[in-house]
Amino acid sequence: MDSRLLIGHAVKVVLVLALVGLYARGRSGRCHAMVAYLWAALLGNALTTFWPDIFFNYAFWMRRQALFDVLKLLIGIEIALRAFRVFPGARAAWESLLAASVLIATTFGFWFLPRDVPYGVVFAHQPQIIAASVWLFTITSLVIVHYRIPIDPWHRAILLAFVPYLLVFTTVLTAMNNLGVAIDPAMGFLDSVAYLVLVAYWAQAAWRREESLEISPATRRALQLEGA
Amino acid sequence: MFWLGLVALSTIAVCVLLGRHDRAAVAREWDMMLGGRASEHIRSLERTCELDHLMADDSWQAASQALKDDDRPEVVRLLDLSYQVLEAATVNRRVRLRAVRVCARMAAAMAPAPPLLPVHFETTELRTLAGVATLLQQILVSAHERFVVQAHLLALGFVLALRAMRRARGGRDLATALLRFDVAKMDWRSLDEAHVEMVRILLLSAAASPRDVAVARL
Repeated sequence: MDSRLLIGHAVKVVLVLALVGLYARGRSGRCHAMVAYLWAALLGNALTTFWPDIFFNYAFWMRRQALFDVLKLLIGIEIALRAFRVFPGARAAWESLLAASVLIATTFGFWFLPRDVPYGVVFAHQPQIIAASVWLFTITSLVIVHYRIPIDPWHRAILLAFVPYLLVFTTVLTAMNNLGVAIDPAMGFLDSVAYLVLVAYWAQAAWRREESLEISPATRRALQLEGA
Repeated sequence: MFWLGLVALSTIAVCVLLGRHDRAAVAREWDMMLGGRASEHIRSLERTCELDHLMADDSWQAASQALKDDDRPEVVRLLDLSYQVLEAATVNRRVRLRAVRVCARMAAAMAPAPPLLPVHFETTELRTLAGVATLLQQILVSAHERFVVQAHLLALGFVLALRAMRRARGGRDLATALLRFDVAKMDWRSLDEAHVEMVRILLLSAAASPRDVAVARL
C-alpha cells in the first residue's frame, strides 16, 4: 500500500479518536469551530482515501483547503472570544490588535494581489492566508499572556499544536512553489506525517483528564472556569 | 519567503508564550486577588517584612555595642550579617514588585498609591529617585501607569539603598560606617513600607469593587 494512503488512514483513525474524546470528555462545546474543522478534516480524508479516483484531485483539494482556511480563522476568533469573554479590557486590546492587523493586511492585499484571478490563486496565496491565521493565533496568545488569562487547556492545545503544523505546511507549499513538481511527493509525505502528529496531539489533549485547580469557588465562578 | 519568515517568527512566539503559560499558577494569582484572602496575605507579608527589619536592626545594634567594646572584627562581622539579611530581602522585594507590576494588569481599577517624597529619605540617591517619582506622578495620566512606574522606581530604590549600605560597610572609620549604614538602612525600611503599601493597594483594588464587576471590567 502507498505510504501516503497508509498515513491517510492513520489520520482518519486518530481524527475519530479525537472527536470521540471531545464528546466523551464534554469538551466538544468549548470550541465549535474546532469540532467543525475536525469533522471537515475527517470527511475530506474519507472521501480522498476511499474514493481517490473521484476526489484525489487538485480541484477538490482547493475547495477543501478554502474551507479549512475559513475554519482556521473561525477557530482563532472563537478561542479569543471565549478566552476573553469575562475580560472586556483584554478583549478590547485584542480587537485593537486585530483591527490594526486587518488594516495592514488589506492594504498589502490591494497593493500586491493580482488584479486578474487565475485558478491557482488560492494555492499561490496559501502562505499569506496561513500567515493571517497564524498571526491571529499569535495576537491571541500575546493578549492571553499579557493579561494573565487562565486559558482553557483544550484551547491551549489547539493553538500550541496548530501553529507549528502551519509552519510545516507553509514550508511545504513554499518549497513546492519554488522548487517545482519534482519535489511534490516528498513534500506531500512530510506534510502528511506532520498532520498525523498534529491530530495525534489533539486526540491526546481531547482525552486528557482535567487538572484540578486549587482556587475558591468565588474565583472559579467569576472566571467561569468550567470543569476546573 | 517573507511569509514563511513571518509564520516562523509567529510560531516561535506562540510556542514560547503558551508553552510557558501555567494555567494553575495564573488561576492561583486570580484567587489571591479575588478569593477574599487579601487581608490574610497582607498580614503575612507584614510579618515577613517585620522579621527582616528585626534581624537587620538586631545585627546593627550588636555591631554598635561591639564598637563600644572596641571589638572591631566583631563590628565588621555583624555589619556584614545585617547587610546579608537585607541583601537577601532585596531580592525577595524585587521579585515581589515584578509580580505586582504583572498582576496590576489584572486589576479593573487601581487606587492611587501614596507618592514617594524626597522628605521620606536621607541618602542623596534615594532623594533624587523620589524627586523623579514625584515628577513622573505629575506627568503620567492614569492611576495604573503611575502604579506601575512607582513599582519600577521602588525596585530601583531597593538596589540603590543596598548599594549605599555596601559602600558604607567598606569605610575605614567604623563609627562613620555604622552611621552611614544606619541611614541607608532607614531608607531601605521606608522603601519596604512603600512596597507593602503597593501590595495592599493592588489586592484591595481588586477586592474593593464587586468581584464580578471587577473581573468584567478587566
